[in-house]
Amino acid sequence: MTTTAAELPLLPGRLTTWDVVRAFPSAAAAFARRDLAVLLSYRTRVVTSNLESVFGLFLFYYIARLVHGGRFGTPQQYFAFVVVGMVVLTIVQSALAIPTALRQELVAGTFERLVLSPFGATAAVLALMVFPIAYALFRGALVLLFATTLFGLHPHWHTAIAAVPLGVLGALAFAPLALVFTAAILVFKQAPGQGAVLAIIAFVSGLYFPVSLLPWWLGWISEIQPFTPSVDLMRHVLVGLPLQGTASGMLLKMAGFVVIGIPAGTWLVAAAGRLARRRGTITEY
Amino acid sequence: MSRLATVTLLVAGVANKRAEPALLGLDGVTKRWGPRTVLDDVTLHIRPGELVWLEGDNGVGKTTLLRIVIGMIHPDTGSVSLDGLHPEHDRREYLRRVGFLSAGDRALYPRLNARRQLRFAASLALVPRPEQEAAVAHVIDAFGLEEFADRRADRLSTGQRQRLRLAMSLVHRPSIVVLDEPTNSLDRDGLAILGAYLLDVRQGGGAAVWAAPSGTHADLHFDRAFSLENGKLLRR
Repeated sequence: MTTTAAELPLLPGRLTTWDVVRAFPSAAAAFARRDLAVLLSYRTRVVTSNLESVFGLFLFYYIARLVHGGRFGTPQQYFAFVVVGMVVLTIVQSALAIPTALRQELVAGTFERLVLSPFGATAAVLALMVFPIAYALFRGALVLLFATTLFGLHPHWHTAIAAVPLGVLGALAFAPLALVFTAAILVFKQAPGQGAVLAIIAFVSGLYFPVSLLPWWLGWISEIQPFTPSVDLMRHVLVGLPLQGTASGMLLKMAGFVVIGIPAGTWLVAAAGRLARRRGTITEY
Repeated sequence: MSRLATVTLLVAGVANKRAEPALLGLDGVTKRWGPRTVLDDVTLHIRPGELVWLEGDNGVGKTTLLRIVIGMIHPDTGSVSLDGLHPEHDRREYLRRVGFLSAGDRALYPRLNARRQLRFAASLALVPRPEQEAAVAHVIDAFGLEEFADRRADRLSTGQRQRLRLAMSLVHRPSIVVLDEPTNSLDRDGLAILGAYLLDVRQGGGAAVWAAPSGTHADLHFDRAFSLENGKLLRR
């Protein structure tokens, strides 16, 4: 026996601001460690989910063979274009995974522990993003590696490292949308339409084809969301495709979504949590 | 002498603490679910070192009362305070002082081993990182989890999972322990361990509320016992 219960004191006084500042990153990292451990406990899923990316590469490698002319001079140029689109989609999907993760916590009954923790439900919702974004960056790197080794993609290695902060920025720029869905789940216990929103965004943002092909009445949508600049910048740093605007303008747009959207989304989640507590439905699903 | 017997004797011997200010205070708490008044003007003050028994029939509102105590839901009227803290305005500090075990068999991560779950619970409770290993080791020892600390939760028996749930709820050494039907699946040893733990809580100046269905009992001496009937909290 190492200790008895009485040897440890009951909780001491209040946490100082410094205590909280130190404890919060540690708690957020605990979410990442937890999610990694859970993921690794499903070894087959890790392998198959990454194989899906390889199959996607196969598909677009052969579709690219059909592409000649227009913006793309060669099939390899279209393949490079769409591979980066796949990478960005993986990263964006990671941010949009929060509502699904929250729903799983509700169904498993583990959300109760998060709600009742001093870390808090709102911080926990934000922490749910940490591992999916990190894992999406890893998966994106794997897609690039497969595309390079199996399909002859030629990444611009000297600028590729910039894709990591750009990927994080892209995911964070999409997080506000995920926080809106998360708030809806806290209040209504469902948030239909996530898949449709992702599909629409992918459609109007130039994932599989240039946005210049969109009709004028759809083109404006590509200008008002952060996917388009994110994928454009990633294509530039990863495979050297020319930008459709200034890099600073695109970065500013994405940063704007982060700086305004995340505090607003966080406020919405906190308000949804308070409403659900008042109704007594916070842990219902 | 068995651990259980020790608990009984020591609990009976603890001095009367009526003069101390309340650790937990509920004043005029009312809660309605639709047209039904589940809690009707409930007032309860629990002092440091008190063990309180709460019983009632199924669906009478015990869990609602406990959830108000732990700050999970708001009362319609009335006030709640713990150690002078408000459950909403001082939420972080309030929750640091609460340890809650819900009824049932949920709130575990099936694919994680017990030790990893305890570390996660300690992080959530904002236990400083240098102290987390000691806190985890403490509850592993206190709740007799040594043998299966490195086993995944989905490979534990129901009783072992209940001990793990208790340990996760209490890893941060809360000053008030709120237990909703904690005897679920606990064997005699498990009950003795829980009793010993609660004794330590009360000796440290903490308190506990133990809710159970009417007609059940626990081999512990409680300082006060209440039953919840028709929304009213009645002294037994």
